[in-house]
Amino acid sequence: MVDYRIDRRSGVATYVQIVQQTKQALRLGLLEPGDKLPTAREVVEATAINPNTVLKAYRELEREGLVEARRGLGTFVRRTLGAGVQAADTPLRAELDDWAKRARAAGLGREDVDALFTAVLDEHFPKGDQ
Amino acid sequence: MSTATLRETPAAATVTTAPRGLVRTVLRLHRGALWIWLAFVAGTTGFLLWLLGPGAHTAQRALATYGYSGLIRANGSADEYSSLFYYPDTLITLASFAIALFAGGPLIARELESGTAQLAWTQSVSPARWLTAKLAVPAAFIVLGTCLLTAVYRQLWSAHGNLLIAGIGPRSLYFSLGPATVAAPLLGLALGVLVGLAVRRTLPALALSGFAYFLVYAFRGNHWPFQGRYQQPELYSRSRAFTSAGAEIRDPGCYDDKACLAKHDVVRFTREYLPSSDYWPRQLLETGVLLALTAVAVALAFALLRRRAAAG
Amino acid sequence: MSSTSATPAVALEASGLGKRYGRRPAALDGCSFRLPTSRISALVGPNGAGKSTLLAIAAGLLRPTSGTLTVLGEAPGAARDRISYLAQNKPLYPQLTIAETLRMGAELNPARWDAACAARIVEQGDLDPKSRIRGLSGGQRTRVALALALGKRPELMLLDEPMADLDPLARHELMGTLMADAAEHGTTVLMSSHIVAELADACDHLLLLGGGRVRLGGGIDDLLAAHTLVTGRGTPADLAPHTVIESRTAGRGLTALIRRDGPVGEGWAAEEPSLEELLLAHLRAPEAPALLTPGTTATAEAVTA
Repeated sequence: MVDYRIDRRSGVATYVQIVQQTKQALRLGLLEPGDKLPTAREVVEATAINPNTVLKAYRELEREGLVEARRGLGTFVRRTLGAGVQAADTPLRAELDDWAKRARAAGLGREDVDALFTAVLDEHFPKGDQ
Repeated sequence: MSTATLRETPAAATVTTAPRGLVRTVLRLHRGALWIWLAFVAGTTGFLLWLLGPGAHTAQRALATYGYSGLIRANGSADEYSSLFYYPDTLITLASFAIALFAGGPLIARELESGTAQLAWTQSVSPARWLTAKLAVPAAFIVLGTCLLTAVYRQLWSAHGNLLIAGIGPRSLYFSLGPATVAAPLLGLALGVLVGLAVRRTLPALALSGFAYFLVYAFRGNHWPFQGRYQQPELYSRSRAFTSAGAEIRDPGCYDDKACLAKHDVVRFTREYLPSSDYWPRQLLETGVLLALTAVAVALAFALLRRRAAAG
Repeated sequence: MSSTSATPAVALEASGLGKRYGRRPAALDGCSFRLPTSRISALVGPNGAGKSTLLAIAAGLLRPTSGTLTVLGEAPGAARDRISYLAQNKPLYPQLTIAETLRMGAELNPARWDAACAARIVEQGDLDPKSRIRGLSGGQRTRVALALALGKRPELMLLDEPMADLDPLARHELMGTLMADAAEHGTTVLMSSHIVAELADACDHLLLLGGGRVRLGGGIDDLLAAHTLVTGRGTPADLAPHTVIESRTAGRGLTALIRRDGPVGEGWAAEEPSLEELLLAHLRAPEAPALLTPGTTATAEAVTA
């Protein structure tokens, strides 16, 4: 079972936080295929957030093929985000690692890198796309 | 009222089951006042029964000893009994005032002031049904209590009215006991409710309903100063003396002159008030007026409520 | 979050709603909006904006002086067995115990009462059912009042400042309970509040009242998406054809909250505002034009209803 923790000051949309925390739980193996996600009722009772926010997050997870809703039963995990995914990402990570080294060598501070990265991120992953 | 009932018909289930719950809720909310009322009725009935039994016994003996005229001068125990005889009437009058104050204050105005009336109206109970219950439950208790008290009082009057010392007292009491004794507190209830709804604040409502009931009290039938048909009628009293042989003779007017009593061989006196032919016409007229005013006050209360809220 | 076919899709529909108390300025004046069912809507506005008046009219406690309001497809008052209303001062009978208060709820709502639900809310607060309402703190009274409101299993809840006197823990707990009830039964909630943070998490719909009318109405996401926070060099006039709700100059820079009409021009850094920024900007700019997102405007039928 996942215990969602909503950080109101993070600036990240609440439903995105639920999506991210579910994915994190999948990566860490806290959730495995066949496991049931908490019902919307359970989540909102614990977090006092809007039920539609939870449903929106679950729909997003469903769209990504990570979970499936079984009518009248609940939402269940379909597949995991295991090491395979991270392994596939390794070349990308290495490139990013390399890029960060070069940025540092060029004299950029942490905040400069952050601003630059966010700008590029926004360009390639527009907000409306989420 | 007609639109109110029409609108309620779709929720047929609530209409059939809710009244019992609503009545139970009203009983629970005002149980303090109801216990006080029951204690008052029980206490006053007990007092009346004492007057009817042991109290009358002593007074009767005094009357037999001194004679009616002797009693007036002696100021003895029968005189005391005569005063006690009026106490229940005073208590019933005070209770009627208390009813008017209760209806104006705790029953209605305090609820509107604190918002608990609105709490009730947002359950499955329309304001009109809420007001109906608020009127009907106390009214039922008032009618039952005052009917009992009036019946026992009338019984006491017919059994021992002869023990009362003449004056305006017996007449006033005689004409105040009857159906009007039941109708007057009902009018007090209706006036209090009307004032409570109009004023909506507890303290002013208490003052105003007390004043309104004072007006009712002041114009009660036993105070009517009318000339003509409903002029204050006299209650004719008859005094009789009995000889040792048991014969009934006219009161020789001996007072406590022992020689005089011995001369006429008088051992016992009796006195009674003769029923007035005016009693029922006056009672029925007064009761009619009181009930008509009650109906007007109730109708105004409902109209006021409907104007304020979507009474549904 | 499903609704049966018998349930109308509109929880509240106001059309030209007006309420005047004596000679004072009207509390509501030509207020028109539509609140779909199964929404959890915030009712926001400055003090005296008519929030409590609107809720009381919807609860059938006040008669409007003009206009119409339909509640769950019926006249206010006719739907009283399907709504719950929580007044701002949380009135309860002080002479009753908690258990008696809940029994009253059962007796006055015989068709709908859910005793288990009401009892659970009271238990969560560690309240002794035998204690009298008179002796409870403000927050405890709110909890009992909320138990009474939820125990009725309403289709529409009208809550006037429901959480104002609760401590943070009780507020979180009760808001969670409220949201859980809404999740399970698809209850529509309309609650007034001043606490924006509370609303941002719990609500998906917004009604901003001002000057007796609805200034903003609609889904919060839609409303936020319709506005943009822009920063750049220029004057408010450069932002045409967008509607500038509020603008502030700082040095050469200009920060403005705009209601977009087409894409934002070059040279402006655009951001989606937070709910708080949106609300504050509109509260500071009472003359800004009203915006009701599609589906939340009163339709023609409402006028005849």
